Amino acid sequence: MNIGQENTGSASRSQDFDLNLAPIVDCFTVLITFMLVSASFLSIGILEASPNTLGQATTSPSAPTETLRMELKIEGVAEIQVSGHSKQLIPIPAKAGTWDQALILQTLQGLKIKYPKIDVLTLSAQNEVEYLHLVHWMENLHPLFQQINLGGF
Amino acid sequence: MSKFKRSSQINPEISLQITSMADIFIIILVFLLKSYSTSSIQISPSDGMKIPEAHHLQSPIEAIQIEISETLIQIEKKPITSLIHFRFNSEELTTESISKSVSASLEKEKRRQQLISNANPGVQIDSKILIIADVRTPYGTLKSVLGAAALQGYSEFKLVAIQSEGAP
Repeated sequence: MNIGQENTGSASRSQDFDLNLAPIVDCFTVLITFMLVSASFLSIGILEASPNTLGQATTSPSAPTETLRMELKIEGVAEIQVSGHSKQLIPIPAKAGTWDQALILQTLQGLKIKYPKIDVLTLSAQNEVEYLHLVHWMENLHPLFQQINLGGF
Repeated sequence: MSKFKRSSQINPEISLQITSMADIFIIILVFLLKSYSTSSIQISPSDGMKIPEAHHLQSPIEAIQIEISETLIQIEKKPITSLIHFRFNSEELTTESISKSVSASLEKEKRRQQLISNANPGVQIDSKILIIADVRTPYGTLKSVLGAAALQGYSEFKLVAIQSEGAP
């Protein structure tokens, strides 16, 4: 590798250096192996939830007079319940053996328009409903509600 | 064979060109350094666990970790009680379906935090818990664990999920 040329007065001399890359490559090999072994390529995050008991303790005057609750049942049926001044129970039938996501979201959006102060939803499920579905619904409902509480305990 | 013999006669010194190899290594190293997680929070689920995937997640935070796998519940990597196919033994549950062992362990943890908080006023009692649960965990089991946590004053549940890459 030609690093540079040096002019010294009338005589010009060239200095050629050969950079020894072998130890650098050795270092890189060790570093890459270490990083490949220790690296985690999975990105982990969290979904926030609270126990339902917190929602009941709100006594602020601006607090909504109605509370919203949704229960997932094992057969794909869901129940949306409005409690408080207004009382309403809306059963959502299953669609192809699972929860009808479009109809549930549409119903909840309608309730949000009707009761704009509601920003908390209590989500509960039957004992047999798997955690996978719970996470899926929590994620689907987060754009609609500021806070999702977990209920049933 | 004869061809090789001929060429070796012409140029007896064969040197490996490692400049390009060093270039490749630098690119790999930069990529690995960029994707390397620098978070101080260590979440390492047990073998065989299937963590749920989600698209819109927040950054993980430091909190007490409760792990629910098919056969075991662990708090801070310490085995607390065993499960049979993700379900508690009926003797393990109270009449309100709250896990006795989980409740006792979290109460101990809360007392420890209280002692630290009393000694150091700057340290506040943490009400957060990280739930690392398998996707197959039934809500009944989760309720027993969360109920025990709520009973001990833990009011912020952080459900751990893997960031999904595809479209929601």
